[in-house]
Amino acid sequence: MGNETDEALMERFCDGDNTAFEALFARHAGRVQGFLGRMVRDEPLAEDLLQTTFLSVIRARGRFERGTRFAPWLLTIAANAARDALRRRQHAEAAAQQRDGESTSVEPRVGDPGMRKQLEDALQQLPEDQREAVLLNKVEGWSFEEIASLRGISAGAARVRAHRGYEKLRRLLEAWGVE
Amino acid sequence: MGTPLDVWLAQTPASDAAARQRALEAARAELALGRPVHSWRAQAVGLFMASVALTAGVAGVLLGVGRMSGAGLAARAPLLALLWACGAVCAWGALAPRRRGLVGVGVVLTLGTAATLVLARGPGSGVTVLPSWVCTLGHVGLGLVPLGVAGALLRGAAFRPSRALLAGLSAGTTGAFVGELACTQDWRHVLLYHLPAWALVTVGTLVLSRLLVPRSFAP
Repeated sequence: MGNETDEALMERFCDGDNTAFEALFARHAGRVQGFLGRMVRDEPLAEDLLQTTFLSVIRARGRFERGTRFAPWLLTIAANAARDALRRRQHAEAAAQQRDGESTSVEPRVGDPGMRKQLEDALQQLPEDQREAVLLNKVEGWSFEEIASLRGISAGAARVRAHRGYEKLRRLLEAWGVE
Repeated sequence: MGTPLDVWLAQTPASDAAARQRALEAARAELALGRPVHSWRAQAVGLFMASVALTAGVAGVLLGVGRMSGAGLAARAPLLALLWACGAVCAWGALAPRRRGLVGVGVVLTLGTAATLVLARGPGSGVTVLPSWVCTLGHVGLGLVPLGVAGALLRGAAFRPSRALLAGLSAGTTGAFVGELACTQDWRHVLLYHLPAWALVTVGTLVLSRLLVPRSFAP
């Protein structure tokens, strides 16, 4: 099973072999966990989303098309789940803000110790679509064509999203004296 | 590489083995349920067949009670076939994981079908004592069954408005089909009372799909 490709494992899983699912989980869970952690920066939520992602793989294995690559399909599920969770959280926060009548906008916490924390803060300041594009392109190594296919946009638009996100990150970090 | 940003982006974040184990346990529990899994193609056929079964059933009843003749049915066969074709394309486009081009095809085909329904109706051939909105109500009511099926099937994938739109258009063909069989009023009536009902079913499917919590976030 160690030499088997992801796609072969997924095909076996679709044919009813649950051990193939476990092999896929062992291969990809860490990567998905890292991606989700950076997308939502909320440990309990990232854990929920990790479960949601793999439950989605199980429930929607009938939607996996043989002949396509498994890893982008899996990360697409993770990205969709993260987007949905962030959208729901935004709605909840907006409702709470309206109720309380006070602002909950997050200002950069320049005084936080450690550059890592500041980098994570900066990433969370990006709009959702730019953050996703930066993470998929810079961390996961996706091409702009793959990001475009995920979101139903042109490759040029995906490139612009990632570039704008990256530049915004740089500017934020410069303003905070990190870069 | 070199800047703190690039270095950080390239780093593997700390991972939590306990969280992964819990996710694996949840996955094993789901697998243990042994729920049947259908391919998206089977689901698309199911959505289309919900509409076909309903329309064929109503056609059978209308023929059985003598509200419609075999010759009348045959005369309308091209329009009915167009409606079924429209429903099939929209159902396929709604549930296909990729093939975004089908969205445009489905919408254009629906607009063409709607225009054909209006143009083919003519001056009307019957007298009715029922108010016109009864047709709208009937159209929407018949669409509720495929709408429910569409809502259940759309929960199996991440929400995408274009997908829900196509599923709604497919569900709406049911009422349009029965309208062609049972309604004898003129083209203005089709334009003002049947097509808005089709739009209502489509909007209803969109809203339902948006409100339902997805069971899966697969593309």
